Amino acid sequence: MRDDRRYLSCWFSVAAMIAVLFGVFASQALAQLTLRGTANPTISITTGTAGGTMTSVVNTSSSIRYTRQSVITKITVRTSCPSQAFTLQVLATSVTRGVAAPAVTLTSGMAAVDFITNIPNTAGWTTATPTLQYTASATFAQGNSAELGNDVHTVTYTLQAQ
Amino acid sequence: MYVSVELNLMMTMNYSINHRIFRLCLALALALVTALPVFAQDASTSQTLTLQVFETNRIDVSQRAVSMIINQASLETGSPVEAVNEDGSLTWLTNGDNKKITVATNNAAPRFLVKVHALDITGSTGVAAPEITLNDNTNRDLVMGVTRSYGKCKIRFVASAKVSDGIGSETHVITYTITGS
Amino acid sequence: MRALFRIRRLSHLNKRLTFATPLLLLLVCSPSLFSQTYGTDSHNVTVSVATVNVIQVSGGSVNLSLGSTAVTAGVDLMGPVTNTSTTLLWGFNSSLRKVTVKTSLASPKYILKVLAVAPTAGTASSEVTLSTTAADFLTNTGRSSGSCTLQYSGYALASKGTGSDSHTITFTVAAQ
Repeated sequence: MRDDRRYLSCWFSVAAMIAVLFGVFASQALAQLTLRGTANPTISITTGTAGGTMTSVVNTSSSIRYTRQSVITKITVRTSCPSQAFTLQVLATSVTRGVAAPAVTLTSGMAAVDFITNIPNTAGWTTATPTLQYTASATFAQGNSAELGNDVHTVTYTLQAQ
Repeated sequence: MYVSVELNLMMTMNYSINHRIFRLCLALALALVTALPVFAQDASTSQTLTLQVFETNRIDVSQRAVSMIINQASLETGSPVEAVNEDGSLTWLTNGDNKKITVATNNAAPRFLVKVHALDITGSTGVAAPEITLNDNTNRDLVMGVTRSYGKCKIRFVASAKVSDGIGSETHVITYTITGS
Repeated sequence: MRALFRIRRLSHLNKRLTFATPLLLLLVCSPSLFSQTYGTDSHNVTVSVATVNVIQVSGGSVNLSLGSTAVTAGVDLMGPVTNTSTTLLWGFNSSLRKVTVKTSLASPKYILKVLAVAPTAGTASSEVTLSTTAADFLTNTGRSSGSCTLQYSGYALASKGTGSDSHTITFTVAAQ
């Protein structure tokens, strides 16, 4: 009987500790990386050149804020866009903490790829907020939204240990 | 945004009016959502082109060389019998007005007589002149009244000689020209 | 209660393992609890592409002169005189599109024809004798970007005499 109570107490204690720890880490994770500026930007391509291509459009209305961690970290990016028809790229600009990867071509269902790497853990800074430079492009052969619909990407950024 | 504001107003109105407004707003919202941006439908472009036609005259003869031999004499008169050639033809084209076709030989004083005549003119407005005797090198009218037309005719050469002319040979370079009347 | 009685019957070793299991679980979970992911966020980015149909002629105006060349004695029809100095360019992101051509000159004195030469996209129609009625010039040009050489050919009948025709040639995108 005494062993049973000790056994159950041990299980409940462990469960409680796990729940608390998940709660702590979850709340901390929410604040470490946030998207700012225009919540859900729309990029419209409206012109093209006869015999050439459609004119690409750049949007810099959003930014990404991240905080210093105890280890060197990086940010990855991925997207989901069912029936994607056009091309979208993203590039981190004005990066003060870390190294921006080359522009990432966002393809629906892609695995997460490096976006900003080597974010230092050394003291001296708390947050950094580089700009998200989205570039939308299309060819005449890819069609238009009136016939195909818009591309709606759900772009996800993740701050993680490098 | 427009639809959500109208939905708030419905709370204070009776059901029948609310329902009509709701349906109207829904239709407008659907129209706005489906009215995707459209630019430059059915475009067109233009350019200027000028086609200019200048006066053009062209004449051609089918026979580059004609050989005529007088080698017979008439039993009745004793005079040499004429040689005739109608194997050649002349073709021409002009888009000008009031033209004529002339003929000339380069032989200023021929010993033997050569005559030329245009026969059977077709496809043209021209009129044949009377038979021409090429006894000097001046231009003579062959076909007249040629205007904005193309044509064809048979060229008839008649070569003759007198006993007193003796024997021998002569060469003529015959030139046909389209010119103004 | 039955489960508790079963636990009582365990051997000494099993009892030790039983108490150790939750502690082992905590140790196993700790790496994931102290996760490598520190934060994540998402937003929607919408790409909208408008309907764009653009067409243009490059190379400026065209002058055709019909004179002593391309003329045959005894034949009424003079020409052709040709020009290939200009180019048509287009970009259509709509499906099912074609290009038509017409002239502004209602009663031309002479004959003018046009042909699309070596199109980089689409299908060239047969040579068009220009009139004020739009005729197919290029087909199957939907969702394409391309160019072709414009070959103009001028003819005249000798019976029409001398003079000049001034045309404004218009190329138009149309639904196929």
